Amino acid sequence: MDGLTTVLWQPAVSIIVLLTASLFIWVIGEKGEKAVTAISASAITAALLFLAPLSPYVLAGHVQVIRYSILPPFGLSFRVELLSISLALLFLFTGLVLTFYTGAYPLESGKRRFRTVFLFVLACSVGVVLAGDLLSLFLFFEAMSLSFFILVIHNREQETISATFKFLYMTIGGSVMYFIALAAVFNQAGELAWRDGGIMTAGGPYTLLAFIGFVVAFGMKAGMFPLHLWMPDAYGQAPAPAVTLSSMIMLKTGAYGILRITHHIFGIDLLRDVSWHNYVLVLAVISILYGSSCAFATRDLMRRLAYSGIAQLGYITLGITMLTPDALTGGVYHIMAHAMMKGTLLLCAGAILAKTGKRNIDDLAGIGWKMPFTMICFSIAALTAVGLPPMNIFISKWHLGLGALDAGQPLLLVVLLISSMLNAAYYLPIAIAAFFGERNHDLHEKLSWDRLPLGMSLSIVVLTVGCLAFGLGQINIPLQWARAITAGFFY
Amino acid sequence: MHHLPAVSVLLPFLFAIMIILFSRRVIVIKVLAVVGSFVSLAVVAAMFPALMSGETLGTGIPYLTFPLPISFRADSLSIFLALILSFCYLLATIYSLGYMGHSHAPERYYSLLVASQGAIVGVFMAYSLIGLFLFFEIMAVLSFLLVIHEEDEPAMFSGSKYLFMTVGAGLAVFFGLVVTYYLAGRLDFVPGGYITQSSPYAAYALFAFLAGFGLKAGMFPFHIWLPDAHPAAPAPVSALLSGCMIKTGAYGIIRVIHFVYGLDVVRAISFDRVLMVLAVITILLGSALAMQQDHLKRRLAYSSVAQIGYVLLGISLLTERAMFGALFHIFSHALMKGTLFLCAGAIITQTGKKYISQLAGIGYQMPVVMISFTIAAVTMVGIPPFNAFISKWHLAVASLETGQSALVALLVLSSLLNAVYYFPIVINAFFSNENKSVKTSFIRDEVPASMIWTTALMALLCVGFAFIYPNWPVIAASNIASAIF
Repeated sequence: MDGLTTVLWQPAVSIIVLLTASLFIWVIGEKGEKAVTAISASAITAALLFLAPLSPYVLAGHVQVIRYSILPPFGLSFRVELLSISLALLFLFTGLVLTFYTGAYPLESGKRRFRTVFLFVLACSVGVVLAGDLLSLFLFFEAMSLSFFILVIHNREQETISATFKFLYMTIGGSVMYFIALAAVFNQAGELAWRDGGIMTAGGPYTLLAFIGFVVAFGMKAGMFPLHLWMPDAYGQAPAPAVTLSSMIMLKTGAYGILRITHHIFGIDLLRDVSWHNYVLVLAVISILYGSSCAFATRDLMRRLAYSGIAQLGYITLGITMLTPDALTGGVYHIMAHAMMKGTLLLCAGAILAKTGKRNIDDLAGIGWKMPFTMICFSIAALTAVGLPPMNIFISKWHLGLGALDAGQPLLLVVLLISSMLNAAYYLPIAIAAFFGERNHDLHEKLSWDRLPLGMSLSIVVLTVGCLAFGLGQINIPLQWARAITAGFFY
Repeated sequence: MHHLPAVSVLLPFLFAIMIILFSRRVIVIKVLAVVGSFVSLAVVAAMFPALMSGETLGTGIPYLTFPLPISFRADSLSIFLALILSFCYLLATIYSLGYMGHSHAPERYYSLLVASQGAIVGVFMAYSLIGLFLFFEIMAVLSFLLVIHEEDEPAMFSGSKYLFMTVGAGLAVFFGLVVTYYLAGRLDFVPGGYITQSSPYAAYALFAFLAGFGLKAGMFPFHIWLPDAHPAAPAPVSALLSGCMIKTGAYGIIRVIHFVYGLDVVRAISFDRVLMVLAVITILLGSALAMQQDHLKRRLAYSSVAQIGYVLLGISLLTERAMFGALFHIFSHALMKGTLFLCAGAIITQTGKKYISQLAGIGYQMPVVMISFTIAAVTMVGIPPFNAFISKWHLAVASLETGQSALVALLVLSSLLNAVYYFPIVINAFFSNENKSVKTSFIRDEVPASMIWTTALMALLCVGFAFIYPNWPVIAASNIASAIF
């Protein structure tokens, strides 16, 4: 492909297709579930087909910035490079899987609204990773965060509304911080675009202000301690597909933002000079330990998964802020690994909730004999979360560990292991109690299959295979991509 | 020939899948389980010539990709251990036909049993630390499911204890792996080791491995899962846990200190001293606690703790003769402790008695089983010509050679303790004066034939090898020990 001379149209068109499709769903929404699913799926597939052919081009190390002279004064820009494209493909793929799940998920009312906003959030999140400068990113980031609240508030109960407001106010606080940071960066550097090695040249109060602003804005999205407060409540109240969307896609945009500003706004040389990244690193470690401990303590399945997400996002942030190549590889790989693992767990939890209405872990004993398929997938994902080889998270932990040693911090490796132990402590008992135990004995006879709608079972299977498959083949493509991404940052 | 290591690992898994697929009829499950176990043993046995010649088998075809690919290879150490343990697996599988005759979920039990045989062979055949770790974890999950097979409250509790401790052990090994990879950039096995520079990181890694593998082996202070898990599991599974699975921990330590880290590093950070101290404590503590138990299987479990202490002691002396003693003790302990657990299972099946104090006069009700028990108990004490004599003898001589004469006293003391806690059971079984009213003429054992004859065969092998020429376990173990040093 002779992409160097022609201006790439794919990013803009992909997003436009997704946005148009979401509008279209709103227009015809009440006509039928199947049509809505078909439209969403074909729009996402189209976007995938537009972006996927760019991968050889970006894998070869090419970068292209596309600038549109709309939205004065700075214009809208996209940047096609390996990191953006791979994350966009991941988001689209998981979004596609989730579309089928959502299509089959029994939402009580307001399906049209839900599905429209769902696709809109997906489109914006793809925009976030494809955006070529801070302002374009801000645009998509805001649109994504603000529209997500419609998904959270879906059930419109008292607790739901208070959880949503918590989310909304925190998001707006984050946006304000982002805005301040944006102004500080513009004041210091005179531009807002990504550049290798960073655009900030010197430390100083304004630079620090910008750093804090970005960390607050992105850290909030990534559920970083102490900005995680919205997460458990929102996860506890929102419908399962919305939670999964948030976990697999939206949280990752926060991690992505931290990665971008680390390497393309501040630059690792500057950060190593002033060692601000260590503050984020400490917060990431606290997130990991705090999230895992809280997950262990809570008895509500969805909230447990939310706290576990705080810990898992801590891994990614840790990988980014250790500033070593191996750690970054681990962090980037973990974006994919966590999407698959947590996606499976959340979809299974959603299936249980939809089928039985049970969400307290104590009530889940013996559920494996009523929903064997769901609970087998849940168990596989739980083992993945503990980091057993050859599943995905083993690979990311492996690289994070190597990076920690590279940074001269073997204690960080110990933190990862403690967290893995806690993962085992809060996931495995669910899986064990689902199948085994004295009180389940009489259930053996009554073994019945799950009878989930096809879309739900299919999406759970795809994500479970995603947990397992990549370590088994001869070549691990996501790992190769993660390494290539890292190589682009540490040249 | 060079495909055999991979085949021996994958075949049991294949059979496990077949058992699940054809689980309609119980008889099919049982046939498949025994055939699968036998065929895997046969494949391992086919590698016997390589064991004797010291050749390394393997195609070098890599599998999986996670950080490093694995390829199955087998040197004589792998084949030696795989052969012994596969044989124990076959006997335990046949024994299960009787013991688990009317148990629930036969398809689950047998498929897990056969799959765990594959996992344990995989531990030995995956010729790198990373492959060892992979099969180690698979084995942990499978054996957890076997331990909780009864699904009653004690089984669930001790199973969970075992699972979480093993997961912890796995994470300690993971720590060691990452550090080792960071230091050397490789994780394969090379005789003599390839990390020759002592450094703090090397020390962290080695002690992490010690914790991880030591936990698996039941070493003090990580032995606490073992006395709970062994009694809770079904008898054949206890025999396998004790006879086979805890040996993989000792195997891991051998591989780490002789095939990854050089002996200089091991000595420089006084790893061998620490291991020796822990081994001594393990022996004494295991024996002392075994004496206090009235529950038969718990006594056997604590005795296993003590016996694995011998193996670790042999490893820690770092001499050829001590290594020979350790390897041979793995072999002899697998047989004798296997026998004892199978006997305990037979007693439970026939009489339902679990406590030693109830066993007065049982020798007249179950003569074959209790004679097997006696043979194994005598072996345990280490009297010639029984197997364990050979290992204890070499351990004692090796202790003298390294100037650790105190260890000889320890070995003698421990043998004495063995006698103290095994012989009363035997004496009480045959010469009890408590219940004279019980029949004093022998009657036939009333347990299924598959249980009696596997138990008897295993007991026979505790002594049988002394009368066979050439005594291949001795030759193989001494070849391996001399190849290591």
